[in-house]
Amino acid sequence: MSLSHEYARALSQLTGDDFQAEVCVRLGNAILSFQDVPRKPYGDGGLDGLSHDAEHAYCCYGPEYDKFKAAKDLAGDIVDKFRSDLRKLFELEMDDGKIVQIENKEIAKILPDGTTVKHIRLVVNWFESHRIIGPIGTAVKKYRKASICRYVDEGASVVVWGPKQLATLFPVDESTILRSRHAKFLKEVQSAAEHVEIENPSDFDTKMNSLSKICPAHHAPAIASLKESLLSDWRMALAFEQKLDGTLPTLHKALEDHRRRILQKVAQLMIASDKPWAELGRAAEIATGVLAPDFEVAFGTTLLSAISSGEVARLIGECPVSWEEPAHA
Amino acid sequence: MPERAAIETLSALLQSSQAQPRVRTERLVPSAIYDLDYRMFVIAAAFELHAKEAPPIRRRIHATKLKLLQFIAIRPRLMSVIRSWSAAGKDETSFAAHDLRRGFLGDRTYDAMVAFLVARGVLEWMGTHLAAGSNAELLANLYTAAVSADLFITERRTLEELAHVRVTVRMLEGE
Amino acid sequence: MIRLSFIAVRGQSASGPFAGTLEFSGGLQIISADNAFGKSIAAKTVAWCLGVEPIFGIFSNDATCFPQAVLERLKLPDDSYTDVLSSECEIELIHDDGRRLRLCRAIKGDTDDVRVTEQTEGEVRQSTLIARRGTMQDKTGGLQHFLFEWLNWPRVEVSTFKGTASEVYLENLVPLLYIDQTEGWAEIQAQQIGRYGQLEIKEIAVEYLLGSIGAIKARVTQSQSAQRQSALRELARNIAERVTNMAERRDWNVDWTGGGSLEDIVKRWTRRNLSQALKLDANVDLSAQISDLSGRAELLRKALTTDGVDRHNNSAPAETSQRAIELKRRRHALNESLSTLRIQKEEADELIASLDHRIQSASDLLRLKVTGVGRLDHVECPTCHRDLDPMTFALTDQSAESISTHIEALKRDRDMMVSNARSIEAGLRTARASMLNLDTELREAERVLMSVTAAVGAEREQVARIVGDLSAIDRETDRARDDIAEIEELQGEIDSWVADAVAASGREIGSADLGGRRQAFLDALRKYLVELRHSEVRQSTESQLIFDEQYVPYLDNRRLRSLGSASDHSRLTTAYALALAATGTNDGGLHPGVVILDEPLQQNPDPGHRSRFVEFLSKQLARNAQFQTIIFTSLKEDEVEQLRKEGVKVQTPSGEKWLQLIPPPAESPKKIGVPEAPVSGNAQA
Repeated sequence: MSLSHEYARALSQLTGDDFQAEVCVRLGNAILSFQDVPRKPYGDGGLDGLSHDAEHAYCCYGPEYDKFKAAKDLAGDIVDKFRSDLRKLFELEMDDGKIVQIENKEIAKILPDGTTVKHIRLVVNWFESHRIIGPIGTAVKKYRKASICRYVDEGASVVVWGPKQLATLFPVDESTILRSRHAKFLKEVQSAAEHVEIENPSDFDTKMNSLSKICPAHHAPAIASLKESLLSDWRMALAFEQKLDGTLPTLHKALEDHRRRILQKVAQLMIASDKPWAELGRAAEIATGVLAPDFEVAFGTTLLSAISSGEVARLIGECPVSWEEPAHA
Repeated sequence: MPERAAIETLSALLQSSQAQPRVRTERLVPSAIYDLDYRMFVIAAAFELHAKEAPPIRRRIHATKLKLLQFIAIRPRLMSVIRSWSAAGKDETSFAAHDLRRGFLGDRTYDAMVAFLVARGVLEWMGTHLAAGSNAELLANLYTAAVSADLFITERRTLEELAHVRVTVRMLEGE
Repeated sequence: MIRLSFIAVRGQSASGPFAGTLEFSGGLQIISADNAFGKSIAAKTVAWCLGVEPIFGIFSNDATCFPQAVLERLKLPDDSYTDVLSSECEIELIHDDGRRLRLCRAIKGDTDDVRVTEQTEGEVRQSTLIARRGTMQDKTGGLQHFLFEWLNWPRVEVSTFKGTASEVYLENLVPLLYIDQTEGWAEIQAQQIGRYGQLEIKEIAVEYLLGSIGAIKARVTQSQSAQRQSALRELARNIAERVTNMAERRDWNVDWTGGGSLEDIVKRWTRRNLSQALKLDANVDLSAQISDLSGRAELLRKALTTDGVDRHNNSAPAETSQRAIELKRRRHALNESLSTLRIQKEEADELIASLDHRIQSASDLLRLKVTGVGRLDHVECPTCHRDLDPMTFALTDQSAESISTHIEALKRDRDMMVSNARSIEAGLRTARASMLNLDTELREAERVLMSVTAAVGAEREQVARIVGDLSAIDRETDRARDDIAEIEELQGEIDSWVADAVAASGREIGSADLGGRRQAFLDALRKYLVELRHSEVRQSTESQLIFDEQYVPYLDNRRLRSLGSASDHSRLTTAYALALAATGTNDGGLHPGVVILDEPLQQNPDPGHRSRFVEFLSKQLARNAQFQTIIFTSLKEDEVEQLRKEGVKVQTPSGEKWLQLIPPPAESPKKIGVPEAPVSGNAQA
């Protein structure tokens, strides 16, 4: 199996925010001028990314296939979503079956003054049916006619990219593959961790039991949920470390070194503070800060966040970070 | 995100409970795979089992091959990958094989070990090969002593199995 | 109390009859003769006639504990040999109350039986009893059954390791009062029987002879209770596993564990029954389900028979088709889950294997560092000879402590992953069970769909669907009934277990009558050790001597046996046997009042040891003992003289051998109470 093929397959298995995040990293690595558009706090105006001085616009959609009974339903859903994105770009909305012009205030804040979008890329995780192309093309024609085209050129091109296109348009390098495999891997582990009942190993169990003892009884459900989350993160950290060890040993060494730095920073902050546990609450943030220089470029923000949480969970699970019942208990 | 909420939840619970914090930095130690003695043994075993006699020159081994062998000896789970990689020949290599190649080529600790051993006179550079140096008996002694003491059985077995896997120049040096 | 009045061995050889006899009185007496005289034959005769040969480590009825002289060849005075054709031995016991008992058993011949002659108030009764087989259980023919009654000894039940019942046998008690020359001196109760698997038999044997039957019963009850509890816990785990498997097969998530103490389990299993647990945890109510199914079936039957079907209703094909599609969709989703779980299981297993390897490597590295095997201790540059610091090359040389800590961390990781792998396995089992159920439902739905599709016309389609639905309901009802039956069966086992557990925990351990007797035994042991001049136990230190729970003597927290010289071992064994006799023959004790020591001096014949022993024998403690002590040894002439001067009874049988050919004149008939005329020397006081 070629790398491109493998990457395309990995992309097709990502959905939702994971898919969008990967697309943005991919495009960011491949296109120097690429800028992803954060959704929060005001909404993204229908845009997920821009490049080429904002003349190229990108809209992403990664639906979950399982929700659809047949391919035509999935295709229909994709068409509906992209139609909605295109209407935002053309500043249109549907009112009682009719297309009406509206104002999209957010686009004005996203695009540089005087810039109009000339090329629109609709990026989707499933492009197995050509029946997406026709309806979108038809919609674009209608929208061009109905819109005053403030932010989109009347002659703007609209192209649909699926996983294959995204994989073959630019070279697939090692970190791209690793990132996509890890995203898929982490997703699998994360989703499974949700419904796998975990029995607890001893040291970790002791700590969580002591937490149950020293916290009021009504916290029991929160503690149970917390236990599961920490164990899940710990597992992810182990699995990630193993992958790293076998594929990117330099990064593996860096991770080992950073782990110590994370612990030292957390320890220093906790010791120096009169609210030590508040500092622990920032541990993931601290970990992200320590790991970012080496890991953000290779893995992107989403994965970096997962890696950071995993490392913190591991510090708790392997007991460098621990707690005991208060002296008077 | 749920993961972030977990540590924040933990922090809030601990604060409200007035539990005593315990941070034991001494419990976080480096992995043994970066230890000098361990790496020395793995290189010694790989050299002893795979270096070839080349009279009148002393025993020698292709440096990249040594790098690959010691990389897998430390990670026996990669045996299946190298077997299928070797069997694939000129055919399209698998993604796992690409991982392995990237992995072992990126092993800087091995590079540092070789530099150390060369400085120590245990190994010598001979073009693309590493040959036994004037102090090479240190490697032999280390290997023999470890075998007598029944240490590192898995690493040794892996290296022995690797003797039956054909490692091609293409695998070591790429296309 | 009893005493031994004589020992006799006789037989037929190729050269004619032969015999040897020794007579005994009460109290202390020494039988002194040269080595190879045959003293040990005499000593072994006692054990053989009592039928306790297992203490020699031989099979029942196997006379190989005897030497060649009574089994194969008898040595004659001229140093020639004659073949032994048959041989037997006999002992006589005299009870304090005047009753006499003779036991005679073949040595070469039929060894299964013992001929018993009882004399009570002038009446004589003879019988033949079985020496070994069923010796305790056979009320009419068992030798030990008879002896326990004759001695008025209680029968005491003990437990075995296997949980079966056993008793205190004579061979469990004899090692405390008969110290055999060959193996008896190795340690206290050296010849105690281990192969019967009796629990705590050494302690029980001591307590029996002390007369603390209550203590034995308490001990046995406690160990039976512990065994019972252990068995119950194992059974609880087994039941819980079966409940879990039953639930997993049906994709029911129920919490039914068998861990914790018996009390915890009883509490858990009585708080709610299995049906209630299923209802609460898994929302499964089989009775309601059957009732519901029955209702539906009833409606369907009515539709077929009374109500009739709506001929304009065309929905049957669409509905049955939709059902099949829905099931297929669910199956597909479940298949994906299974696939994900399988991948996760593979990955978890791979991670565990990797962690195992890393733990092993790190452990080997630790050994390498600790033992310094092949390490480069001093590293220097070969050209400039300056030290080469690994740090220069960004390499680290970790300490043993660091590696140990790393191993601990890896083990925690491994434990966590193993738990995770188990959880995934449980998930796989549940998912597979769900898949099986789904497949069954899908097959039924497809069957119905086929019938409906094949039917022509709306009416027929509906009928086909109703018939199909009825069959499905019947099958589902059968399944539910089977489930109920299985649950009831498991509940029955649970109820039975709870009853047993409650009964087991309710048993009280009886109080023991032991304290005073134990202390008396300890006091006596201290006295004897001091008198025997044990090198570690003197008057100044005797108070430090204590017993542990197994009646093993300790001095200053160390086993007494491990202290002192080699000679002290035989002193300890002697003192132990005599102290137990001294205590056990007091009121309430069950000691028979006989102690036989075979060759105490041979264990270490150094002059110091001999003189101390001889000195002991002349002391009051030894001479004035109420119980009978018979010592077989080899004393020097001056030692014999010294002891006789002190009033100690010393027999020095004449001749080189105890067993001698009997001269031709006919034997006089045996009279009860009169031993056969001894061939070798009589006791000489």
